[in-house]
Amino acid sequence: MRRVVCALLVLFLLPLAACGGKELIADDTFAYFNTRLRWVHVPHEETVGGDLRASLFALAGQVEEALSAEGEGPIARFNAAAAGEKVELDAVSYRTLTLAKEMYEETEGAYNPALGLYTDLWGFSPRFSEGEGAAMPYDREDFTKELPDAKYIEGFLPLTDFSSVTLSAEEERYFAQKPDAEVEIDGVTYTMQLDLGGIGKGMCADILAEFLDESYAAEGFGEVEGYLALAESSLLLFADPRGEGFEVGLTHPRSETKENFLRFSAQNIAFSTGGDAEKSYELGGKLYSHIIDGKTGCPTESTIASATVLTDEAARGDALCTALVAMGKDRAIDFIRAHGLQAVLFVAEENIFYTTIERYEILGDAKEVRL
Amino acid sequence: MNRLPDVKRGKAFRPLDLIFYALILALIAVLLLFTLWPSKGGAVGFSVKYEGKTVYTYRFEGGGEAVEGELTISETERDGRLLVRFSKGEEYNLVEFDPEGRTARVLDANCSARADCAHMPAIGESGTILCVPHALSVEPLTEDLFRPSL
Repeated sequence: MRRVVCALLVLFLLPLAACGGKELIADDTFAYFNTRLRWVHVPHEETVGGDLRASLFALAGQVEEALSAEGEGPIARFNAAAAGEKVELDAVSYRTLTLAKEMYEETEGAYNPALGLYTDLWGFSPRFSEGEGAAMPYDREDFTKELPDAKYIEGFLPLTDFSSVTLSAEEERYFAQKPDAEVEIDGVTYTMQLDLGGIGKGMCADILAEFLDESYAAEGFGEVEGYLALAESSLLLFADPRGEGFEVGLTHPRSETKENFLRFSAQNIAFSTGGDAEKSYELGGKLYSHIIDGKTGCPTESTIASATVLTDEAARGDALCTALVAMGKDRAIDFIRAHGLQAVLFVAEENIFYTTIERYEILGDAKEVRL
Repeated sequence: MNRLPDVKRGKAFRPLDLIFYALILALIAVLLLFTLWPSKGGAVGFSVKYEGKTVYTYRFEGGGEAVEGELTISETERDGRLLVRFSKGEEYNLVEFDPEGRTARVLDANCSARADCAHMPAIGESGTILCVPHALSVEPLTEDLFRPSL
């Protein structure tokens, strides 16, 4: 009798010991992309306080330097180059520009990385958020109280044709040919300026994920578990150590306390979100967001307050969500259907979200429309 | 030898057996607790609420963020700590956030309660400071890492 009881207890005990649950820890840095980079993972001896964390964050710094429009990296050199000049890139910037070209064509220009002049003109470039950089002739005393001069809005349009940028690879060296187009306004010559803000964070997440895959395999840690998050716009999920799926919440773009309006269960996929809540200002009762309409040179007048896309590659998702917001509701819905995307569009005025995702939990009072 | 009568007479559980079984059951209970209620992420800061609604959040890595509303909120820094004053009319509470000690406490207030919130101890990963007359509360901001948000 006693042996039977002991045997039963041991049989019950062993499975419980096995399913003790893995904890997650978060490693944060605020050093890159002017935002928080978070690496959430199951701690291993080597990752907690070890070289892997340092290497991961150092890699993020390298990616940022390669893609930044400021400093001395390849994109900054492209922007500083004269019209028609050939600029040498590195592998990261070449890879990013190659993908950017694909996305520019796929979205018919709704995603356009050649809008750097407008990003700066409207006051959304790092020059304004970081308080560094030289003044420009088109600066206003207070850009939140005065619209840009129309001559710049119209004048910069010929410098935004990203299809005219030529990329080439020659014996493991990479180049970008700047278009010949240049414009002179009030005696100052302007050329195309690239801004990879709409794809850079996603590309960084993808590169870090590849690094983690290789490192985990090399260290024998098994499958990568946890996720990478850049700001609140790029979330690259690996496997959930519980096997269930992370519960991902989407923030209501008009909630002052950042309440979620939707929640999904997901793993091994990238979430990308873009919208007018990230950077915007109000002028004359109108909201001006950082997402520029390449056809007009002005902040988009889209009714989409936020767009979220689920993809296998975070960089692709990053570019797509920017494009969807810029397209406006009707065109974005057509695009989502035509390309079979898993996406959520939130229209703030209607308090309605449009989605192709099948399973989710609605939080709050937003209404749903299934596409 | 015929042990069968001895076995039949013997009790099912001797005192030592009972102690042993009790220990195993206790161990099962502890394991169940960790399985059913796994530890979540610790406090990442504090939230300040007025009448139950969040008016201010302070994160150890990221600083403070105010929400526009009925309260007037002003911040100053002193000796590496953030002092935040919440006021409405003549009423006020001065809250100190200590990023190194990971604590929050009310330094000063002019509320009328007998258990004056300014005399409550600092809170860390748990606990709440309540200022009932001013309808203000300060509590830890915890984060469940299995529930990220975009």
